Amino acid sequence: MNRIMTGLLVFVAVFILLGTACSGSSGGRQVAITQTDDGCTPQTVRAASGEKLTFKIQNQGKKDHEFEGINGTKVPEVEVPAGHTRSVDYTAPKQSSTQQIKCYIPNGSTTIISVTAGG
Amino acid sequence: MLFSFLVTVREGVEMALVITILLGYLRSTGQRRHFREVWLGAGVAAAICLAIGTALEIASRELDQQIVEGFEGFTMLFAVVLLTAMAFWMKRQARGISAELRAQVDQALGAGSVAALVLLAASSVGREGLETTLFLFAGSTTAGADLSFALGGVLGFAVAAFIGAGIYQGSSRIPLKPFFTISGVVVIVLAAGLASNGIAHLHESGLFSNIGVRPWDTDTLIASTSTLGQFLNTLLGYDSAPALAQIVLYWTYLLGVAAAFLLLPVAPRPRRPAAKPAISSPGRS
Repeated sequence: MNRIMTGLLVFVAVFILLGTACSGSSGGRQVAITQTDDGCTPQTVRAASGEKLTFKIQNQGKKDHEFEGINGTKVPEVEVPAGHTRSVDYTAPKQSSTQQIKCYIPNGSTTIISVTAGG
Repeated sequence: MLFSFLVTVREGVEMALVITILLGYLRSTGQRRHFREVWLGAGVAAAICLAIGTALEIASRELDQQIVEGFEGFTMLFAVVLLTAMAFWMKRQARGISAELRAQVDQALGAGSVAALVLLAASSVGREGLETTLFLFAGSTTAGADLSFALGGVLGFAVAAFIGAGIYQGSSRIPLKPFFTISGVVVIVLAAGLASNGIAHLHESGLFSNIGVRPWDTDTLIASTSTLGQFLNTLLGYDSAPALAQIVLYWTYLLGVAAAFLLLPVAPRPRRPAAKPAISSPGRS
């Protein structure tokens, strides 16, 4: 039993470390996003095709914000509590397109940020 | 590929943990025939998740995030209640089952307990499964190579199943009493994390607008969006900047319930009169 459990633990530890290393701060070009209780700025972001961006989201308002990709945009959901700053990585698609990120206070103001990639 | 792999491993391990504990419990109390109910619950939930995923893919649109958050929040809090009941129920059942007896023990589970087995398996697989579906759906649209994406997801589930099977095998070597104590504590720790996550999700759904101040922020240490942060979130309820309501609920639940589980004597079960064997076994030295 000990052998099995030790093996399992080592295995789990290794892939968590691997995963952390791979998805760690492989930060791209920083794009600052500012949140207030009235909305988020900027509302448009440009990216080269396939470019890596790191959104640095600063919540200057008094309410907690949500930030996430919608309509297939690959930005993981992140909560930005009031007064806090969060970073999210994003890779623009290879083909030129416009992608959308929803930046909002639940039941409050909503801003759709368009990311224009490529072209 | 790595993305889908990590998503399915993470969510799969949580499903595997609950199912492993349920099966391990049934095995050690000689109730293997109830394995069926556990797999039934898990299977139905998995089928529903698959159906939702397929519908999303066909309709090519996302569920409204706020509704999903609300759903997740409520199912998490519901799971806390179920898991807590499961820990104490197992403790009560385990009482008096000595190692030499357990081969013969064939206790009848009440109809309520059987329904609870199905519910527990279904709610665990359903909740994590829906999350997996949504993550994968969001990721698949920009992930490029579809085959490797699917492969990553399948591989991730395989690894999670392997881990579950390993724990199941390993747990058969652990003596009965420590097994119940350990799995009870594991269940309570899982539930404490779910309680904190449940509050957070209901807050994100807009239901609870104020959940208190956030005394610290460890996002620079372990980011909520990092792989490690997400693993810790799924299994332990890690939040880099938890609100007061989350902290209070987490610690009150964890300390209170763990103390009750470990220290309180179990309530005496309604007993049948003296459990003396009616027929004395022949040839006993």
